[in-house]
Amino acid sequence: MTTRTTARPVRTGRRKAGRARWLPGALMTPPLLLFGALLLAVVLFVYRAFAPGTTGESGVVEAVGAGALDLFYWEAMLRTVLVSLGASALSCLISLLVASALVAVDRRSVTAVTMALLFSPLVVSMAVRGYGWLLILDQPPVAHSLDAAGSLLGFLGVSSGLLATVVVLAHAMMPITAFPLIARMREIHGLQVNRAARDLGAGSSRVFWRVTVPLAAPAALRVGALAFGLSMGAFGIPAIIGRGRVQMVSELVYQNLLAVNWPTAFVRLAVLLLVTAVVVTPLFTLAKRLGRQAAPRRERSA
Amino acid sequence: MSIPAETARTVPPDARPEPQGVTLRGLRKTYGTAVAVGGVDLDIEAGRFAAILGPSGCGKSTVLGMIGGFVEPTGGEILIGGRPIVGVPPERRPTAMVFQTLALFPHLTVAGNVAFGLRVRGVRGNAVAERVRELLDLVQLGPLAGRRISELSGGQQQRVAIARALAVEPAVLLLDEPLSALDAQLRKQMQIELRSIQQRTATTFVYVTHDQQEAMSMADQVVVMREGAVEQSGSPLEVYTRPRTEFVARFLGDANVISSASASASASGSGMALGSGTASVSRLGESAAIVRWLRTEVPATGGRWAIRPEAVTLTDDPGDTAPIRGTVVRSTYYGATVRYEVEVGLEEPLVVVVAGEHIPWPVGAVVGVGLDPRRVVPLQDGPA
Repeated sequence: MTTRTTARPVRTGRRKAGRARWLPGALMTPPLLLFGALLLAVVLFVYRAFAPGTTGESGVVEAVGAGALDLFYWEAMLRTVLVSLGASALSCLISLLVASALVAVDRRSVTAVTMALLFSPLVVSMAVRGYGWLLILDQPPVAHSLDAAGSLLGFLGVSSGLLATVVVLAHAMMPITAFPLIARMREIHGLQVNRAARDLGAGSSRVFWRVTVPLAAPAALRVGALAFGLSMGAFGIPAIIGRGRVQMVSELVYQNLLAVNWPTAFVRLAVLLLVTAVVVTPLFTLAKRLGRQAAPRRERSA
Repeated sequence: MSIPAETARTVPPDARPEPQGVTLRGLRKTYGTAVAVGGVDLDIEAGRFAAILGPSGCGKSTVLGMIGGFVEPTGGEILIGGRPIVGVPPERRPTAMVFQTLALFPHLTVAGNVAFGLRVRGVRGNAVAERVRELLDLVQLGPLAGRRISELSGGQQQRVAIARALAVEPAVLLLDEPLSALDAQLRKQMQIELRSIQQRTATTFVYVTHDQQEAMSMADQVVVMREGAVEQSGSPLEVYTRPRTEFVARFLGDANVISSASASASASGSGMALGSGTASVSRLGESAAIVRWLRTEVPATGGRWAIRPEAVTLTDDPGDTAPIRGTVVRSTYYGATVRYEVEVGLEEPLVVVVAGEHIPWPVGAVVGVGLDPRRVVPLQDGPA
């Protein structure tokens, strides 16, 4: 008599296998329902936007013809892009400096306090933060400094209100940019490259710009792109800090939605998304490329 | 007038700096109540390859960190070329370090890594390219100058790290276990290359390792550290053949350690120690023979001796005439050598390594145990 062996695993129970099949599906149901609802909302929005308007043409075509993308809109778009770029860049720079300092100090108490401060924009309501910032910005030395900077950059169309919006928006973006950059900075510290650069004769600033920044650049670009995308949709902070003078695209869209002007809101939002994608895509591509170059060493036998 | 940090070690291209010696005087480092390094005195001659050897946590990397300027000493002096350097930041010291992690710049090419130190010192243009080429040729990486670090093997990365450190022409090159991540074969190859590079550049190398074979095969001077202090320093031959303490004897290869003090302390003068354990004598006559012989031929104030396994000879003893006799209790064949464990009256057997072809003694054979007084080392201290 011959015996046969098989590589097939022995089933211990059908009930167990059945549960293994439906459990992942059950776990996925709540998020699928949420995203499904969101998708439905988008479909409805698009349907209403494209529905025939008063002239019988598609609402979107009518909206474009009626000046949904007029000069006023493009000015708001330019402002939105400038504020978003400024806020994301400033937030990344501050995060890089904070991360460098935390790695250098390497004390648990300092790290805990700093982390709490960085996290605070997420737990304090936007209105409270906004009006709190207004109190600070209204202090004479701060207000004068912003006015001076605004008049210096006036030829670029930059005002003191716009600068203030950039600063406050950067603060709001800190949780997005700081935590990943702190993690990356710890990785860089673990590689001992900063120590090696100092050992080779580089001073602190040269180490920062020639070693730390290039190695942190991929992560900084990624979180910067994320912060930029979020800033492009910012509405509350620019409205509060700009005191109505720093109008962003999202505010225009909000007004259109209040007026139940679906087609104009759609056109303006679509262009906002397009512009965001045009800026963010190269940032992610560059981050990927730099990330490949700055990948840590791999062990391979000779 | 202070010297700008980034030009402090810039050397004219035609003037290579002379290698400089390293002197440590009472060097200490404590972390709160924990003593990492407790008063190290050491002299490393200029142009020599010194290996600091010791088990994990003995303070060897801390000593290297203090020489490199990355760890601030709690006390003591560090002199390089006779000049005190405590308090001088790392970028102004005449040293360069090859890190355990290698710490290569992953965003730069091989050439970029080697050129980094030169560029921060203000060397520009052809001078940089020429020096980079020279160094990459030295470490046999010339054709890989344009490669990214992630595209190199472990051994190649190791050589880049050495070239990068040598580029700044340090008076002293510090190496912190740079071969620890490599496989055994590559490590052996790199040991030969490192030694060769050191001889060609005549730079003072201070090499930290916990691998005694590595230290013995490469260094001119071996410094054995234990619990934050230097246990012994000397040439590999001296440290291996004349260990001062039981710790050194055991750390550098196998050693039989015999203690007559513990022999007299236990079992009414019939006790003895082999290795780190105190043993009672199982056969009084034979053990007394070896101790008597040691006391007569190699007087030791501490009453402790170290005998390397290869320093013991075994002979047939049909006439029962050898002064020390033993019984083979185990034999292991290693190809080039045979390792015997011979019962000579101690709780643990005497380890003997016999090289070359011979008819092996079987287990149970009674053999004569030959000891050369010149190869028996009296130890200075108590048990390790």
